[in-house]
This record gives sequence, structure tokens and C-alpha cells, in this order.
Amino acid sequence: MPKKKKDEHRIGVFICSCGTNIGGVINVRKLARDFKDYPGVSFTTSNMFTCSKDGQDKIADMIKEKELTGVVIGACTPKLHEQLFREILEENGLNPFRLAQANLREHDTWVHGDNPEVAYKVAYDLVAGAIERAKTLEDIGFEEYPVDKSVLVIGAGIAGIQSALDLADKGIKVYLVEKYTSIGGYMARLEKTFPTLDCSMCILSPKLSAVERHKNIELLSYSEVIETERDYGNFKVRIKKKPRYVSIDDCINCGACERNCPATGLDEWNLGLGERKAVYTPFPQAVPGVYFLDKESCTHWTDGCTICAEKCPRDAISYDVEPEEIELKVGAIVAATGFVEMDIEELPEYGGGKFAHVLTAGQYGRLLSLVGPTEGKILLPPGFEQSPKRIAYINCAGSRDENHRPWCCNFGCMYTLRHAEMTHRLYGDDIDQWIVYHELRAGGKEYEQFYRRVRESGVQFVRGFPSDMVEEKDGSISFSVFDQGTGSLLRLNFDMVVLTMAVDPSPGAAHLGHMLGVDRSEGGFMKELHPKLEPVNTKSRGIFIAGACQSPKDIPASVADGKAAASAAASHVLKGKVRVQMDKAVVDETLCIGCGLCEKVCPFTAISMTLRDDESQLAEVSSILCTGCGKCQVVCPTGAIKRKHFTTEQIEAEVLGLISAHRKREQAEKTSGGVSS
Amino acid sequence: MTEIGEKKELPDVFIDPIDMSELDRGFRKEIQSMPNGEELSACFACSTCTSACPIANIWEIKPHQLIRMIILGIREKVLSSKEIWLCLTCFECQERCPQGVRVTDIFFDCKNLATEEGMIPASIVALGKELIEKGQLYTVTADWEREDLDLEPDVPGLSTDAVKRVLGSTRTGRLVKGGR
Ligand SMILES: Cc1cc2nc3c(=O)[nH]c(=O)nc-3n(C[C@H](O)[C@H](O)[C@H](O)COP(=O)(O)OP(=O)(O)OC[C@H]3O[C@@H](n4cnc5c(N)ncnc54)[C@H](O)[C@@H]3O)c2cc1C
Ligand code: SF4
Ligand code: SF4
Ligand code: SF4
Ligand code: SF4
Repeated sequence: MPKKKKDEHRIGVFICSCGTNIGGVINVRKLARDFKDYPGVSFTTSNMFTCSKDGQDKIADMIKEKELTGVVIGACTPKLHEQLFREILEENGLNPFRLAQANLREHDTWVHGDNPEVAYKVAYDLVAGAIERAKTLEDIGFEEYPVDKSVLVIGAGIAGIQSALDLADKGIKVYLVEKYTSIGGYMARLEKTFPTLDCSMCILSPKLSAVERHKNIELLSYSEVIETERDYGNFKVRIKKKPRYVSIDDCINCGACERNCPATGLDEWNLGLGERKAVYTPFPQAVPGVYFLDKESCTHWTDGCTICAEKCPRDAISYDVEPEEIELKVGAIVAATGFVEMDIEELPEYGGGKFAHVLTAGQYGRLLSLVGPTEGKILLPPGFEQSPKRIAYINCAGSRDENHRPWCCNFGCMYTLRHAEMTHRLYGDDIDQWIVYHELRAGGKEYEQFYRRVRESGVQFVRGFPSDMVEEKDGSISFSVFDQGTGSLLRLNFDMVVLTMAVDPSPGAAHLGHMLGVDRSEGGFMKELHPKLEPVNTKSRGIFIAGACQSPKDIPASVADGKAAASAAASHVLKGKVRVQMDKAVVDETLCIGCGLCEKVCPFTAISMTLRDDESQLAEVSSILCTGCGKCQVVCPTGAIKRKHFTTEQIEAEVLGLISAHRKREQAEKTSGGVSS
Repeated sequence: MTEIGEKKELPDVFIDPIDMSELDRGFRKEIQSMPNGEELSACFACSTCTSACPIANIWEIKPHQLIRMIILGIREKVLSSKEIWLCLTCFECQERCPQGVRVTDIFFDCKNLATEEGMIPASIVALGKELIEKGQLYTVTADWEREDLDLEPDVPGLSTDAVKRVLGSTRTGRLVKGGR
């Protein structure tokens, strides 16, 4: 074996056939052979699947045998296997950043599949570029930061609750922040749940109590996250606890305050159906199970009322409470902020906000609730005296509509079937029920069977959407619909119309997403890292999402999400540390002139200007905040700031390698008149 | 081609809607309680029955529309339709319905109901008459095949009396006698 010089390049080139993806278009063996004598290359080979065990072993063996200084892999996109290949380098004593990948599949054979000759040339140039790049690569290290064994869960609907419980069971400290006075989310509003019709509260309230009792969960109800900041491996979070004026520790839930309170406000728990007192508790099983004073509707601050404080036998009520801010340090965050129904006033074409007998499905659900405004009876608002004789449910109200919300609300079909079934059980044929729909989506386990049961119970299904909706003098609602089943246009009249409303993410989701560095998808729902493979991870390390905040989801899916996010967050914090690759921006102090341009362009506020001993400015990069986007490198006028692993020199080397391969071939073609490579 | 500006009445494309008050909301139950009508409500309007039907192409009201009309309560139109009588009773639709709706049997139910209410085409009554009077639908006349085989012209021992007697006391008998 010849003696190897220290700074000599010994690059190994591995060309992958990727089944027929690459090998079906170009001759990979020839490509590998053609690089045998390329300057700096000491080994080349081709492979059916470089990512297979065989392929991996070959790389490992050659690193050792040929004492490679760099590895070039011509295969698929680095997004798929770069991490795997880097690990192989590291395991065999080569710095993982000594890898350069040429994307022969997405960048070449998938594009030029119909022209193998061109594809071969492009492949050659891409590999040549990668070899030149490999020659300029440097060793890059890692830094490790400790991660706290604690998780912040934002939003205490079923998804957040499930996450919190699972995390707490693993011995992880959980802070559960809920902006409302009680935890439970939308599920706590439901009387029953599809498709089994089990009582919603019966299955939810054990979880509510478990949250309250779990020694590892600290519940921060009526609170909101106002700031989050990355603090190396952890997050610093500031939370505002809004005053509830009734002390959680002292209130014994006797209700004396509510009975005597003279002031009322719109009942938001019942989605605006009727009123409630200014001091109240939204539902019997609320957690924390104590009263709550709503400053907006209370008259203490306007006319000095102090009745509730006087009546309270435990002195639990005090009006001089200021909002409190607390600061936490956590290792991970799970956002589970859920959804809201779209505002009914956005649908004037369906009489939204104009016709008294047009309700949202959420409101109808509250009528069905035994602890709702009508104690489970279906009565016409606003008087709640008479039962309707005919009800129409209109599915996809605002959903699947390019003028409103193009997405499907996902659970509307199913809960509408449930509402119809529950109403049928209560009223039989006394209420003629019609479901106006277009495509009924019943995709979950046992959902289709439920749909059939509802059809058999005599509910009328009309496929089509309404138009010309008017309110008659008697308050009833008429509309036309073309029934696709019979092929006839119908003019229908109903005492009550229930809209299966489109859903939006919770208000504030955009702000929260921004704070957490989580992208949003269409409509503002939180964006997952990968829709199939990483559904609860986000692009921000240590930040996870669960439930309907990601997209409209029913309870089974939200629970599954909650569990998945708990598992992902747990594996993040239980490692106890994060390893951060140092392929970030670095500043050459001798070149930095302190102009501050980099600080201005950095989208992640990773750069700050510090003072040198001589009072001049110097840019400083926080490696934990820097995502390696490279914007700073582009604007720096002196080349002082470098994005490691993608330095200007490295990019140049790759581009020049590519161009010169291309030129050389052109030259050769001109002189020989044939195809050289 | 019509001249522009000539039209005084609403164009044909305007459809008169069916008002809810015209619907007979009991019709679904009525059919459902008749023989083999139980699965009616399971229909989810997929129109497989129509795809399966060998002759629905020339029908104005298609099999699935008839089923949906029964469910909706467009009673008169279904019972007076010619389609229920045009049905070949081939059972192709019923065989294929993914929800187990007995489409052909339900059309039998409709025919029985229609008959009870006097909505029966004259051609069908004529057939009934033939049966009642002759005891058979097709009488053997000038059968050259029999002749070729050297057989006597009449089928020996064919007695239709019993058939006529039994039929006389059925719905067919009542129909032909002029009653309902
Ligand atoms: C009318 C209707 C009927 C339904 N019926 C059924 C059914 O029968 N079966 C079924 O499976 N599903 C049903 N669903 C769907 C069900 O409600 C959802 O699947 C479920 O509520 C989603 O849970 P979640 O925890 O993701 O969100 P949510 O229930 O919306 O909970 C989110 C929680 O986060 C809180 N929050 C929001 N923003 C913040 C913030 N910035 N900071 C702190 N807290 C915040 C909210 O106050 C809320 O408590 C129905 C939905 C509707 C509209
Ligand atoms: S202070 Fe008066 S108005 Fe306010 S909650 Fe108490 S009783 Fe009601
Ligand atoms: S779930 Fe049903 S009601 Fe909701 S948008 Fe989708 S199809 Fe329409
Ligand atoms: S095939 Fe069955 S389910 Fe489909 S439209 Fe006909 S009767 Fe209805
Ligand atoms: S039974 Fe009647 S309706 Fe059904 S496919 Fe045959 S001809 Fe058509």
C-alpha cells in the first residue's frame, strides 16, 4: 500500500442505482467507472441500494480500508438518508460533515427520464461538483445542552389533557396552561359522542379529575402564554395568570355567590344561548371545580356591587386581584389549542346572525345537553317554549367552499348524524328531521354502520345544498334545494335550521405559532413537520402539536395525537440533553466591521451586536437560535460571517466542479466528435 | 332556432319546485311495511340500481330516482309512473344494491299499491283478462311445430278451469270484473 500523505484527498464515490429510479435511466456502473481516475478520488463503486445493509457496509469498509478523507454519494435527496450516511461516517472515524451528496434522482433521472443521454451528462456533472465540494469540507463538531425534564402543554382540551396525563405518568413534570376557567375543551360541551353515543362527560370527567390529582401536573387555568424564548436546550416561558377573583383554595363550591349575584352576561359556555350570572361555574364537573368571576359582566367595577363577597361564607372572593406573571423553564412544549366554529355571521346566505331559528350545530348540541339551557329539550330560541316540528341540518356550512373555508370540517357529518339520532330517540316521529348534505364522510371505525342506522331511523337525506333561504313571518325558514337523488327541485320549510359550521383554529393560534416558531398551514392550522411521518413534530425542535389545532380532528384522533405528542416530547426531554450540530453561522472577528447588516436580516434573531474592548461593534451568533439559513453570509460585506458547511468557498467549489466537468466534456466532444463521458 | 326576444313565457329550464306540502311523508313507512320493503331506508342514493338496469336508459324516472321518491314521499308520481310497469323484473338492480335494498320487490309493492288505487295501465288489465278468461296468457294457435311432429292441434288434457277459478277470487279477478 502506498504511503498516504496527510493533506492528500482520498475521496470515495458511491453511486446508487436506487432500484430502477436511477439505474433504470443511466448506467450507474459506467458512471462509477468514469470517476476512477478523477483527481482526488481513491475509490469508486456502484450499488443497487446504497441505503441497504450491503450499501452501508461497503461505505464503512472503504472508509477504513482506503482511509477516506471524504465520501461522495450519488443517490436520492439528502432529506431521506443524509443522517444515516453521516452516522456511518461517524461510526467509522470520519467526521460526519465529510459527506457530500449528489441528488441524482430528484435532480436528474426523475426529470430527464425520457432522455438518458442528457441524464448521464447531468449525473456526471453533479457527481463532479460533489467531489470538488467534498475536498473543501471541514470537520464540524457538536455541542450538547442540558434539557429539563419538564413539558409545557398549552390548551387543555382532550388532546392537551391526554398529552399531560401521559407525560406525567412517565415521571415528567407538566405545566398545563388553559386560557378558559375550566379544562375540558369542546368535548366538555358535548352530551354524547359518536359513534357509540357514550356520554361525553362520563368518559371525560375521570381524565379531568386525574389532571387535578396528578402530582406531576401543575394546572394553570385561566392563564395564557405571553412569551417563549429558547434558552439553549430549554425554553423560558412567561405565563399570565388572569385574576378569577374567587380563590381556588378557599371556594367550597357552595354557589351562594351565584344565587345572589344580580348581574348577568352572555353565556359563552352555551355558545351564546341565554345568559349566566357574572359569577358562575360553566359546568358541574369543571376543573378547577370552583366558581369564577367574569370581570366583563360583573358590576363591581361600575356600581360597586360586593354582594357575592358578602354572601361567600369562606371569604373566597376578593376584587383586588391583579394579573400575575410567572416564569417557567421547560424542556419541551406541546401546543394543543384546538379549534372554534366559524362565526355564524359570516354566513348571511344561511341567515346566520339574522334568523332567530338558525343555530350553529354547537348551539344545537347545547340544547341536547342535560345541563344546557333547555336541560336536554329541543326548544326554539329565543323563548325556548315550543319544540320544532321540522328540523333541517345543513352540512358543510361554510366548509368545502372556496368563498369561505375550502377544507372539510372532518367531524361535521358524524356529529350531525349523532344529533339526528339523539333527537330521534327523544322525539321519534314528532320531529321530521332532514339532513341536507353533499357527500357524507363517515370514515372512522364503525362510523358507516352508524350512518346506516340513522338512515334507517327515518331521517330524510337530501343530497344538494340550499339556496334562496328566507325567514317566513312565523319565524320558520324556507329554502330551495335540488335533490340529486330524485332529480327534483324542492322548496322546503323548517321550524329550525342547524348549520354544521366550518371550523377554524382557535383565535390566537397564529400568534402562538409565531412565538413557538411553528409554521401554519392553510387556514392557520399548525403545521406538522411531515404530514405522514412526523404528524406531531414541528420544524422547531422541542415543539410538538396535538389535536384539532393541527387540522379538524374528532375525539379518537385527538386522543391519539395527544398520546403521540406526549411520546415525542418525552423522548426529547428524557434524553436529558440535546446535541446541536454546529453547522451554523460563525463570525471571523478579524473581518467583522460591526455594520450590523447580518443582525438585521436574520429571521431568527440569532445575531446580536456586542461591544469589543475597543468599543467597536462585533456580531455574535447564538448557535442555539441559528437555523443555518445562511442569509447573513449573503449580506456580509466583508465575508466575516460564514455559514459553516455551506461557506461561499464550498458552494463555489461545487459549482466550479460542475461547470468545469461540463466544459471539459464539450471540449472533448468538439475535438473527438463523440460523447466522452 | 328561436329568435332572440321572442320568448314571452319562462324558458323550459326553469323548474317548478315541489313544495314540501305536496310530499306524503308517510309513503316511506307504507312501502317499508310491505313485503320485502324493510331495507328501503338504507338506500344511500348511490344509483347502482340504475347502472345495473338493462332498460332504465329509456326511462324518464330511473330506478334510483323511484327509490328516492318513495323515501321522500313523492307518492303520486311513483304510483302513477309507467316505469314501475316497464320493469322487467330481472332483479339485476336488487342483486347489486350495496345496501341490500330489494329494489325489484319494492317495485312489485308499488305495482300492487298502484293497482289497488286504480292506477294500472289498460294493457296490464287486458293481460289479466286474458288470464281469467283463458286460464293462460298465450294460447296455442295453429302450431305448425305440432303439425310437423304429427301431433293433434290441441294440447291433450290441458285444463285451465282450476286456474280460472283460483284467479277469479284474487286481485286479478276483482280487477277484470271491473271493480278495484
Ligand atoms: C358541534 C360539535 C360536536 C362534536 N361532536 C363530536 C363527537 O360526537 N365525537 C367526536 O369524536 N368529536 C366531536 N366533535 C369534535 C371534538 O370537539 C374535537 O375532536 C375535540 O374537541 C378536539 O380536541 P382538542 O383538544 O384538540 O381541541 P379543543 O377541544 O378545542 O380544546 C382546546 C383547548 O385549548 C384551549 N386554548 C385555545 N387556545 C389557547 C391558548 N392560546 N392558550 C391556552 N389555552 C388555549 C381552549 O380553551 C380549549 O380548552 C364535535 C365538534 C363539534 C363542533
Ligand atoms: S360583585 Fe356583584 S355583580 Fe359582581 S359577581 Fe359579585 S354579585 Fe355579581
Ligand atoms: S365533515 Fe361533512 S359536514 Fe364537515 S365539511 Fe366535511 S363533508 Fe361537510
Ligand atoms: S342501488 Fe340501492 S342504495 Fe343505491 S340508489 Fe339503488 S336502492 Fe339506493
Ligand atoms: S328489476 Fe326492473 S328496475 Fe331492476 S334492473 Fe331489472 S328492469 Fe331495471
